[in-house]
Amino acid sequence: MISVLNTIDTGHEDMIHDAELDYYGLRLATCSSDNSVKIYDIKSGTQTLAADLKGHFGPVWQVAWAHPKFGNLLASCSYDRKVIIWKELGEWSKLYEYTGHESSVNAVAWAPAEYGLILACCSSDGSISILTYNQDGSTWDVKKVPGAHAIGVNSVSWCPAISADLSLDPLTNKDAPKRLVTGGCDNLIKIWKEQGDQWIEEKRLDMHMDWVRDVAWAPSLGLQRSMIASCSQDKRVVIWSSDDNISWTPTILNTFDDVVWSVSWSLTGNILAVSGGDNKVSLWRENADGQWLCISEVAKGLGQTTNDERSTL
Amino acid sequence: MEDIQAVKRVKTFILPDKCFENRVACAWRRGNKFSIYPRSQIPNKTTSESDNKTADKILVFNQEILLFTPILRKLVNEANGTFLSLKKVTETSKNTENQVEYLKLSRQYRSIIRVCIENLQEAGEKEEDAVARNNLLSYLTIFYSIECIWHLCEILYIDIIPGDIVLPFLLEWVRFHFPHHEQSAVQLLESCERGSEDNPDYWDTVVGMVVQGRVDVARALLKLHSAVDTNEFKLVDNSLRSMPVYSVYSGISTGEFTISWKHWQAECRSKLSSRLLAHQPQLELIMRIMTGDYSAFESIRGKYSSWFDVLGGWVMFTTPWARRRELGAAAAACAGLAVGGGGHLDVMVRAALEGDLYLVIHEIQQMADNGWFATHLTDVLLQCGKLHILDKHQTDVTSRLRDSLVLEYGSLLLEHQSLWPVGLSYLASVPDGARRAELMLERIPIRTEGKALRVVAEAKKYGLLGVAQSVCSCMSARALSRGAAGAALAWGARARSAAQCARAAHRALRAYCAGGALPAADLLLTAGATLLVDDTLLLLGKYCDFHRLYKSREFKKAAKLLVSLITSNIAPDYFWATLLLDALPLLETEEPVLSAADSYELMLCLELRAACLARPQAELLRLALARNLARTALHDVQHD
Repeated sequence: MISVLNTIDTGHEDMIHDAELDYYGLRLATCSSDNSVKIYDIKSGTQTLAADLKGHFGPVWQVAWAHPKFGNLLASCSYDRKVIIWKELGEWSKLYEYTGHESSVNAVAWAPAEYGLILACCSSDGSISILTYNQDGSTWDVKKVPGAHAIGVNSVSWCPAISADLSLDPLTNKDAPKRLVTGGCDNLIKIWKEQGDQWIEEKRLDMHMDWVRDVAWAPSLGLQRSMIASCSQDKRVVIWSSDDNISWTPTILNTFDDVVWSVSWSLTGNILAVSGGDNKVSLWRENADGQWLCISEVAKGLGQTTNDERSTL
Repeated sequence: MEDIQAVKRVKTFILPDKCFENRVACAWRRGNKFSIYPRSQIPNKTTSESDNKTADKILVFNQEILLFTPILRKLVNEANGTFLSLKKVTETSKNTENQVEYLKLSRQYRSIIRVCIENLQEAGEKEEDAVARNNLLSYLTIFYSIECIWHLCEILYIDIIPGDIVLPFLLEWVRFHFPHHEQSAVQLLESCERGSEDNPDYWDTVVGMVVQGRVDVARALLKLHSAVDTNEFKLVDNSLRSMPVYSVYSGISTGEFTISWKHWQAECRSKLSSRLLAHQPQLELIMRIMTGDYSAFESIRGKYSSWFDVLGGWVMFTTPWARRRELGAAAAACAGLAVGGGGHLDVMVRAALEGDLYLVIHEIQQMADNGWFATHLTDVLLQCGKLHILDKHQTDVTSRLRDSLVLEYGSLLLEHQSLWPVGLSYLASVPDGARRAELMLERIPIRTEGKALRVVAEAKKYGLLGVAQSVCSCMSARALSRGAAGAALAWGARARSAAQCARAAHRALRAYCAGGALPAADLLLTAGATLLVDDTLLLLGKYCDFHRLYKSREFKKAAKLLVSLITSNIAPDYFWATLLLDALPLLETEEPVLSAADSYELMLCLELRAACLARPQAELLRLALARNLARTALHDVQHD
């Protein structure tokens, strides 16, 4: 039985575009078309507004929490072409502002904490930026990959630090290469690998027939297998799996009734949440035979009274 | 394996309409919690739509976990103890026969369930709120079923049965789980009235006792009937009395027993066909049951809640010599008596009797106990070597099944704010558990130092050093962000993280320059080799030591340390002024403590770093150094 634990009234003046829970699941960051980012403390059924961050001058698309060992850091990206990294030191303030993109920045993602403090950003200008914090000088090094996806990059996700790789045992070898996956308006999914001080395109995955909206690299549980979920305007969700991070096998999870906007893995990588234009969130799980089954679904109510806050089976 | 899993069990949860005027998306919290929020990637330039404001709510969901109910805490904790003992037993003696130990542990599990049931009953009686009581009652139903199936599986797969003749165990199982008739028999016998047949339950009770194999009780009850002295009663009593009962220790072979038992039943049959009991339909029914007449069982089925109520009786009066693996036919016959479709429990009992343990476990997983039962039972059966499950390619997936159950169960417990160490012990016992434990342990919300230490200790216990380090680093970062440099240093040192230590040490040195006190002096003085993690930390540690020496008036040692700190060149720019000026009082002591060579060194450093000092301070220091040099030029300081 699933039940609504609490309802958070965000008080945003416009549409919400992203809501992310921090590492411990105790804080929620939201961002909205009203140009603001808000942070809530969630404690056993109640929530309090901890901060209202104003610094963007356009709709804020996405927020991302860094690993707490770097302190309380939040990155946000916006239509105003900026990426802002916020830091809590008593109060929340701007730590760094990145203005290297020429168009709307659609997504941001922190690298696995093992690599240090690294942020990947992707933009409608077709490029990806990798921002690396340099401890000694307290500066940020920027590496930009132009022309990553024609027309624009919609989503980015990092490969876990411990991941499948034939040549290197990732558990013992910290030098296993860094990888990330991006999805774009050219209907492609690309896997990027860091080589020396450059990011090179390692693989392109061609399967979707329309813009790729979201990509998500599954958390690794030490199994020698990588998985990436991707979703697209073509209404399909595809699971890509690989034993060596080089050759990838696609499995179509499902074809939905509408555009699929986001895919998100649970912490342990065993459940995938899919949500889209059909106003439904469905949860999927792989069975022992490698088939993907829908285990539950949360849908918009049909003809229900609006004050019925409790979900029904 | 295939067809069972093909059964779709999709549950749809309907939400209030207005939440999703816009598109939705989902954000995960930890394992069983997630939030749903309206999300759109299309910029909405017209903010005038006021209904949007009210619609933008975020819903936080969680799966209700039965096991997290406080009353079930004991169950979780005690079962963990048994689980670990079982693990120990299998580890210590891989090759010896361990059936006795396994049986003991299986019984231990059952007694844990029993205690849990008793607690639930007690709480149910006390509970005044109707909803809460209903919940407790539904938990009770779940645990009754668990107890019943576990007991049956124990008999069929774990217990040591002499001669493998299962009947006495089966009867015991039926009696234990369906005590209704026995209770009314006790009442009737206690009141001990001639003419008890007036009691409306009288005949049902007698028949019930016969079906449960309590022949002596049935006979005693018959004696309470007012017509006990008639021939019909004597005849039935005689047949009951003379029924042969098999025992391994009686010295007769099963063959001999079978012959005498068949002979006895033939006699019963002939008595029936002679219509001697025609005037006593109830006695005739008892006699028909004793001859294993299917239609007789059919006629009484309606009085029992389930078909397995009569299973013991059916086996007793048809095949009392049945062995454990030969109960399939009896189960089919009794299940055939059933009216209407069976629930989980029916399917499970039938599958257990037919030896289909995979189906049993599959059905158990559908029970709402969050995997407690499936995990522990599968574990016991696997360790006993009684579980063999093949997938469609005929490969043995038994241990994989067990591992995945343990993994899921352990992960579930890790979600709980105080049961997480229990969850860890489960994850530690499966191959893929370590990585999962790492992932989840790191994310346990920590609000106090005590909890952090606890998580670190548990992580170290299972060799998850990465987690221990990460937790310490996070604590250090947190301490630093609230300005507690001392605590940040302590946690940074625990984490052995150079970066954290450096950050905290810088913070401490800057604070000292600004007129604050040195933090965590006692910690730094005892840190030893930990100081070597980072240069700034080393400087801070040594500088603390300098203060200690100076305060205890060991000026020579203090001076020597200060000179080495200055000449080693590890101090950050902002700290040079402090360091150099600390030399002033040492230059002015009555007995010179800085040698001529030291003075030269300091002079050199001073000239190189003159920019760090204000002009008058530099002048003062130059003067003091020159005077000290003059003092020591002829009679230099002897370092001991």
